[in-house]
Amino acid sequence: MSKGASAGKKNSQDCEEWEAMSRDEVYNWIFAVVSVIGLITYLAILIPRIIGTPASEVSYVAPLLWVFGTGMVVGFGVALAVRLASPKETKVRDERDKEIELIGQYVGSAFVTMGAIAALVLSILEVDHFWVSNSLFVGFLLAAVLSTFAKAAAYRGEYPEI
Amino acid sequence: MTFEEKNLWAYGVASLVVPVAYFGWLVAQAQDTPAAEIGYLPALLWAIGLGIALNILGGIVAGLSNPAEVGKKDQRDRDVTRRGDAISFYVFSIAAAGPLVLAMADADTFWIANTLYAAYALTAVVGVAVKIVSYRKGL
Repeated sequence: MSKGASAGKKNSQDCEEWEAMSRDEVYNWIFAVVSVIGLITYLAILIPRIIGTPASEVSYVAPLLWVFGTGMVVGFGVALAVRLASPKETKVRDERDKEIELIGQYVGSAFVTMGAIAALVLSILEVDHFWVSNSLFVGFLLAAVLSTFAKAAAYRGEYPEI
Repeated sequence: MTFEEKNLWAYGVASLVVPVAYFGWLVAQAQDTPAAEIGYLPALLWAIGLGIALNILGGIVAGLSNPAEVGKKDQRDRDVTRRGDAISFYVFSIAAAGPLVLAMADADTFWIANTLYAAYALTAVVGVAVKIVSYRKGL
């Protein structure tokens, strides 16, 4: 018990700059970086493939699954490592964390919904499945990027009450 | 009942009745027609349009029943809305993975369009249910 408490104290001295950030803010930065890298990587792989090739012949399933899987594993892995390494007193979520979480949810749900509406319209129009899958997946990626960036901005400045 | 809660009931009824009717019709069609050959599109568009129209109509009826309350939100309304919307977001994000997997597997458009509609329908019903339970049982 006392050993754990002293270890926590030492840890908080080691990384003093973290004290200004709540743990949720640190998590948010992890997911922001991971989702931006994911979006850029995915588009960097896909855009050269689609240029000059009919959509029906572009293979996108493997990159999609790799980007999704790697992003999940890295994002949650790093978040877990931070959770285990961070001192106990930063683990409390306060009212501000909860309010900012809501901003992320609203921004995220807007983009997931837009991607899904686009996918529904595209599938009704019998457009190639490449476009249906990618409007859903890019919608998810944009939701992740923009919701984490909106939250990061909210942590450092004024934010609207939802 | 606040305007928000009445509006919610109206939305709840619309978002339950329309998809149930649509999917009931679809299952009946599927009894003697292969899924890929069902002309589901007009019915799906009707269901989407009708859902939106009933939702607006429900809001008007809820408003007319007590015009003084329209647009008034108290803290409890806000808390209930937040919780319902948060859960809806997670439900929809997970439910939308279904059509994504189907599209990646090159499934017939019938399945993609209908699972997407089902994801919306499920999210609406879950969102309303969470909010109504929150109003009735407390947060």
